[in-house]
Amino acid sequence: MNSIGRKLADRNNNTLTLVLIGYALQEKIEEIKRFSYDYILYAENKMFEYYDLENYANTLVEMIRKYKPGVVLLGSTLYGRTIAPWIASALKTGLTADCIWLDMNEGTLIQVRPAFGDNIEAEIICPRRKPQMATVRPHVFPLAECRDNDGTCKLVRYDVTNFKTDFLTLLDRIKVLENSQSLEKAQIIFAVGRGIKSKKNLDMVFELAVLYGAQVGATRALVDMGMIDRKYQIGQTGVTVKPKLYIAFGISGCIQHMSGVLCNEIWAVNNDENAQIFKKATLGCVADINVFLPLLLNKMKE
Amino acid sequence: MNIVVCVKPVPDREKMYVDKEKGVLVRNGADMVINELDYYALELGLRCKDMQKDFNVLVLSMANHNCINLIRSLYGYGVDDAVLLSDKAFQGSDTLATSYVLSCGIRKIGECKIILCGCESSDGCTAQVGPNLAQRLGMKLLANVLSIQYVDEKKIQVQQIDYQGIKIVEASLPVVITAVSSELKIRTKKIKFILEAQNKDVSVWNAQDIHADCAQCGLSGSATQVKSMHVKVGIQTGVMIDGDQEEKVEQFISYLKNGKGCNLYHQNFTDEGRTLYWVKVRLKKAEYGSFQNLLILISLMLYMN
Repeated sequence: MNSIGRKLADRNNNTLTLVLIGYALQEKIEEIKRFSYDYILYAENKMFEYYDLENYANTLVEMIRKYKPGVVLLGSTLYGRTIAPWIASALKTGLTADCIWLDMNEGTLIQVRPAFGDNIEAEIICPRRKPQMATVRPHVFPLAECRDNDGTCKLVRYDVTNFKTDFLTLLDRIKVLENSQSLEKAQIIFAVGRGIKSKKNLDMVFELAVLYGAQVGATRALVDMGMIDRKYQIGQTGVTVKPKLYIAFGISGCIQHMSGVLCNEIWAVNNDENAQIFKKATLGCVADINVFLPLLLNKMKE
Repeated sequence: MNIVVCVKPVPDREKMYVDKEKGVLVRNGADMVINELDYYALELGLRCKDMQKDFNVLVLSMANHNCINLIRSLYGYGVDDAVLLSDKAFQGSDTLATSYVLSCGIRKIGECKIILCGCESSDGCTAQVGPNLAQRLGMKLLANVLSIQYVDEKKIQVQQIDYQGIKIVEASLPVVITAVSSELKIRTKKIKFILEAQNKDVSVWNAQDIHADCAQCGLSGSATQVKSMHVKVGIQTGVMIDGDQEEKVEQFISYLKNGKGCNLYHQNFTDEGRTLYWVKVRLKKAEYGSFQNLLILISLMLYMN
């Protein structure tokens, strides 16, 4: 978000501040100082070691009330999507979710977000209240460029004294996700959905992916069926991916899955010619993947 | 003790799609249905009742009055009461105003210790109303909940999604819970309940009934405004592969060998790239004269937002 934040701030001759809340932040701050922020505002406390929505959100609300920023941006992540509306509600201001484009026009933030399954884009503004808040979909803007540390980034410490101690009690963890970063950064993804009928066919997809240098992804349905580990899950409750090429095998293309796919080159193989996915696909093929895949793999091996 | 399940009527997505060639939204007479994730919320609420028989499960919805039969149909699942918040003053509410109206309704119901809602709606997809409600009502928020393991008068244990996977947490009541789709099997309607429902009515409350301040409802209570809408058209024209099984595979492979990635407008970060893209879209739009459909859509979005 550094790149878009920088652009918006420059356009309005404003400053760009990064807010960090957590515990043992020094290493992070050193790392972040290299990016083009004007200020880093950080709140460091042992109480922030574990994420607690109210403590984090209250601190942010206090900070916003004190410094009165014109625009507040948060990542549209699992936590970002819960903390942002909480803050917006406390400040009684507007919040636009999942923006894919932002622009500034005479102090008004133009927020573009998808609607109706990404086929429509809506421009949303928040004209009367401040701050103008938006969550931004991960990876839609380029990563920040580092700059040499020329000492222009000022550090500001923010001390928090009021904490709620009425925590949730963590009783147990069920599954631990492995690092799904390789999927997030993949250039080519072969994704599999409910259309796949057997573990054997799933193995073929993995084999194909290796042959073609692709990563394998899956829909929630397949994960829930226990066919594949949760770390492969793409979509709303999984990872958001941004490949150059996305091939959907046996995926119907429901919004919960497709909202995690930021890709303009979507190919689809599905036995149902009326499947939603074909409306998005640049290349479509009506076929039963359980027949199609073995043929494809054989041909590819040749 | 009351459990409130907030539900939202949304247009049936299955029957709606955007005709990319013509740049119009085809509605196909799409009916209103209950937002899918709200069924998971309802199921969680009913499971609480399964565990603690004396809990009352209510459904609460802010919607147009003509959704009343849709709300009534939820009695079939075994809910105890249904409330519809409906008033001209609520029209055009964004998430901020919507959660204000819902919180007024919840206060009027009273004794609500558990508020459930779907994590997000299929039309707005903002996922904001749940956290917003928690803040307004001063309750703990349990977001992205898969299932409820235990509940009593004082506390609740749930399975919740977080960055590391799934965790089981315990919270003291009251709480706001947002439900995500899960393995949970959603119960079917029971004839017994459907028959009982014939004698039950949906309470309809207006702004006055719930003591809502009209300045905080509807358009005047909304912080955000939809400035414009664009339909993406004509940018991608899909190719369908034809032929028999063998031919399909061969063609697919030749595509795999040649064509990788084009049209990556998300990566055209420059304003020029963006403008070019939109000029293209706008031209197409004018060409096909989809204005009327857009108007329908905008009015719909304003209401649903």
